[in-house]
Amino acid sequence: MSLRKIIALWIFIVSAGVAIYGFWNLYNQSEIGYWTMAGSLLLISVVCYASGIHHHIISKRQKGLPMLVYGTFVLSAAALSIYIPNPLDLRPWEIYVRIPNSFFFSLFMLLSGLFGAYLSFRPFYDYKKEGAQVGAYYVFYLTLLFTLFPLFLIIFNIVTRGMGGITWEFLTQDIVSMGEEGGVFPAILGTLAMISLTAIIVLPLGVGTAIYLAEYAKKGLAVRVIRTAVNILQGTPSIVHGLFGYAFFVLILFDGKKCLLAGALTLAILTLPIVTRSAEEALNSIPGELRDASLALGATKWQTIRKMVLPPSLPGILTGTVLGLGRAAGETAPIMFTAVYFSGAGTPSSLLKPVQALPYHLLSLYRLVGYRDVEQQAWATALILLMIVLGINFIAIILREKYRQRF
Amino acid sequence: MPKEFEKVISRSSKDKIVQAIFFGIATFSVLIISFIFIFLFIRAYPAIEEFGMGLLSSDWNVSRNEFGLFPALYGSIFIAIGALLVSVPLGLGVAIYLSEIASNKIRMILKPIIELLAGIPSIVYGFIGAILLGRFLYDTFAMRGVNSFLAAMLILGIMALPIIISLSDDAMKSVPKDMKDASLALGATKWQTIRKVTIPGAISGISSAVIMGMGRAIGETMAVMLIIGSVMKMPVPFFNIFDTGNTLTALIAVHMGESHGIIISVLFTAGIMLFTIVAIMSIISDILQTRTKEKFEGKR
Repeated sequence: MSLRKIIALWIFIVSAGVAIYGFWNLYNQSEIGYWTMAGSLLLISVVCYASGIHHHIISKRQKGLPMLVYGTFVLSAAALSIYIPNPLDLRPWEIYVRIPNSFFFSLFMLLSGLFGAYLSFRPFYDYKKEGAQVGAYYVFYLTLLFTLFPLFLIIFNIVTRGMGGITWEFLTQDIVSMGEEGGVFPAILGTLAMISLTAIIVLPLGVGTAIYLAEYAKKGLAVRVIRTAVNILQGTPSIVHGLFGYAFFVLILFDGKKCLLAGALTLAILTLPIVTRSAEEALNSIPGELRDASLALGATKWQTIRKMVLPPSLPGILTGTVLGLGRAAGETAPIMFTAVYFSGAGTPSSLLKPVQALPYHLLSLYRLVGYRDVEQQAWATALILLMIVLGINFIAIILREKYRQRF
Repeated sequence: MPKEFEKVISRSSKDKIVQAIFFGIATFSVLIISFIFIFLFIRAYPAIEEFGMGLLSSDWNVSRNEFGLFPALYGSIFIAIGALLVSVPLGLGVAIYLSEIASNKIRMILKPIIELLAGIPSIVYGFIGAILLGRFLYDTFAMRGVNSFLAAMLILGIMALPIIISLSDDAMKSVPKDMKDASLALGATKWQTIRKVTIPGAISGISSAVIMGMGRAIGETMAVMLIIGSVMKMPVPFFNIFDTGNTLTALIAVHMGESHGIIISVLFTAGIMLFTIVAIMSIISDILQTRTKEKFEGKR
């Protein structure tokens, strides 16, 4: 291993180690001593100088300059860090926070470590373009890490904190005394009833729209308008769906009363674009030869669609529908004004009566945290909701994998 | 007329009827969009008539009958921009990794995992954000309360990731492989190809992904509502991410259940604002997306 490779590794390891140390201190809310901070920065800058001088003078490749500049930058940061008070109090400027030095420290080390690593990968590869590529790749790995880490944190926390609250009573009883006792049984049933009803409403509409878009008309003004409408509907915030459901279904159709059907209709509007788009995709993936063969044998267009196009595209349509229902099961905003009560609705018995639902149950429990002893129950509710939603998504993914193997 | 011929006519006319039925179903989406707008407007009209431009002021005081929605509008956009600062660098990095670098096997594993991120309900994000992240930031930065723009921006940044990743992944996948191969054949590295061929080729698709991500962040309700705390005021100073505030979505969600009369009407006005902003964003992103597709249509 040549000297410059050792230097490159050194910069990378020291920066990463110090950044982790900084984040650890931030997490524990402990402060970092000035000499720890300045010392580690000094360590990095010395190596940078060594590397820069080595490249610039000894190997005479005149490429050490960025390293020297970077070393100076880190050195001046080390010198300046004494002037950053700990904690940095922003209250004189009416911002009510005190920022601990570990925050600046770990952030700076992370950024400078990344940049230092990028610089040092170039000598690693004899200043060929491959060096820049390796540096860039490491940045991409890091973004992936930062994306997966929150996902891991969220699932880990919900599972570990929610597990303790899940008992047989919790799964099979109605809530008692504002959620402190009892369980979520009616809420589970309510959520399942709501999405089943949503599926019944949305399937014909979504698949019908997709059939028109994919099979009958592919161009023209009407198609463009319909497509735009589907796109707008897909982007529409769920709270707007909730407002519309309240203004139209509840106030006009159902006499100002919340009910299961109003909630399901609102959720059907929410899932309509998801079902439409995936169904259209599934229909478009059917080869044109199948249609031509059927038409050539004298079948009408409708017969062709019914007998040749729909059956093989069914798994794709189902996948999209199930994904849409997964989204619907977790939504709160569309149902909170249209269908749900926190307690007292009981198990769903009629289309025209309100129900309880898991997402709204979680919201209500969260609002009670601090007033009543319900945090454990809230975590357990979150876990059950997550399991239902992810279970639905899992079914969709399995369907899709099967479907992919078929074509 | 021979019987056979009659049958043909009836068959084709039956086909026409079927087509008409499907056209009817397809117009449903258009109908719903116009219904949403009409019914929101009917409910919002009393407030618009009474307050007019006063709805755009920044004074919100229920007892003095002042309903300026500007703080909520500002909060929505402020949070969306902050969320994008988190999610665009991360999302683009992951999208480039997925579409250009990762092997097929890794891609098959990672894609469903990232879809999990989209599958988590927003109320669960909000609950985690308020209980864990909010308390952590409160302790770390010695803030006045657990609610802050910062926590909302971080959580919304995570929530906008899946849509940004999947749309920009699609955009980069739609750049023809021939173009990438030509670049590689000329001796460019994979990274140079990504920088000089793939990203410029997919740029309109990527910007459409960013706009959709922003639309998602502006329209997100439950998570924001739990984290931001919904206090109807501007952050002071206006860029203070540690302060509390409000968004259009949180305003509606919090007040809808407990208000009546003219306030409901004001909330519907907020709904119209929200719907209009997000609809415009959807249209722009849609145009950009079709542009990417058309750009490479002939070259495939």
